[in-house]
Amino acid sequence: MYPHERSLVKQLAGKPFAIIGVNSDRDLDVLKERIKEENITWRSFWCGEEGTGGPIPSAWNVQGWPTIYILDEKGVIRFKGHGGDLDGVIAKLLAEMGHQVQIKHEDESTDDGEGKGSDGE
Amino acid sequence: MKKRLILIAVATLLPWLPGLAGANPPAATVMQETTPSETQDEKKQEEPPADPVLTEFQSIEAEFQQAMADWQQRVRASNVKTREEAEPFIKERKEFVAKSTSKFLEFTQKYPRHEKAFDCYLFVAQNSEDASVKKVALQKLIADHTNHANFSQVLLALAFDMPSQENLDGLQAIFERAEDPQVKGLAQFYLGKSMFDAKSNADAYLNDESIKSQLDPASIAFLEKAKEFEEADYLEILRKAASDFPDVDVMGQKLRVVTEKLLYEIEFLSVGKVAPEIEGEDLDGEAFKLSDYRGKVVMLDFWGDW
Repeated sequence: MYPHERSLVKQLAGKPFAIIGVNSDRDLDVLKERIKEENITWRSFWCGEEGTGGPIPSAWNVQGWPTIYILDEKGVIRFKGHGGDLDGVIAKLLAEMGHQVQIKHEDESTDDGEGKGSDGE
Repeated sequence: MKKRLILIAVATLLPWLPGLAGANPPAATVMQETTPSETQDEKKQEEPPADPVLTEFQSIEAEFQQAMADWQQRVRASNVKTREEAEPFIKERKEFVAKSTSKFLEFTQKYPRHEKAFDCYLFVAQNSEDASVKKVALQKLIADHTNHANFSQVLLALAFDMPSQENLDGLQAIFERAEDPQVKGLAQFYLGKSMFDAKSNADAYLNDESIKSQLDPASIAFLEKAKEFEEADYLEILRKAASDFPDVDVMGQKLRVVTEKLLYEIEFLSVGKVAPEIEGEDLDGEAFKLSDYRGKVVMLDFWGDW
């Protein structure tokens, strides 16, 4: 997950793209350490001490973690899921804005933001 | 969370080894119908001799349970971590499931009126990987057994399967035939939900080669059709379910409550809708809003390091 997202942030720097996390870890101090260790370079809302039961995931009815939404530049939801061809969706939306991008990842882990079970099982 | 998808409602850690989770092994429902052998011996003294047909069923069931238990033990001991390592186990499981499926189906052909015919068909509906065999079993269950005490197991098998025209038709047929409000309510709820799920996932599945390449032509045709489902249709089905069957149990919650959440999701959180605002604080305590990022493509990622 983290390598894929770090790679996206890096490749799409200068493009109208952002990763916004909604983080559900309960211990903020431990989390901040992990942010440094994993070099997590994107901004996240913090769900608070209730973690997965916090107000943001509750409002969004989040049942599976991770859950990913991709929004276009007008804020319209264009993708919702747990993994899959995120790069393809992002590239398509950037192309709609006139930005042609080629997304390639080095050292791709087998887990590109996909949780097990995201293939419909 | 690391690299796993955890569904809070349904926990399956290794989806390609479905028998391993143990939480709801396929034989569980079949087991509920079985009396342990000690009690059966006691019963023998009070009642007429044990039904030999029941005994025949129990031995097919026991053979499956034994095969499953052995297999689960060996899988755990082998510490499988990748799909490649799992392949021989997956193959083995397919084989003993197919063997038991044949035996259960033979039983239904010999004793179509016996009460255990339901359990046989349920086993096949839940476990068989042969689509045509599974279809026949489901048709039998819906035609003859909607009033069986364990019929909601059939509903769940349809509801959590990959959306398909057959599953939608099955849910509709159950809704029409069942008399038990628990079953009717669940069928109507899952019918609406399955239509929404099919439409929501259709684009994602069809545009992702790794998924599409595994689908048969009928599934692809169904997904193309699902893209055109009218939101008004499944909203109406769900609203009716909530008003006619508000107190039916849906995985531990009341149908009315679950439906409200789903209706909210359909109205505000589905593809094509403008995302609701989020106002919150980042990890440094600074306040910000999701709408601050209008003008950019945003990947909104609900995540955790846990």
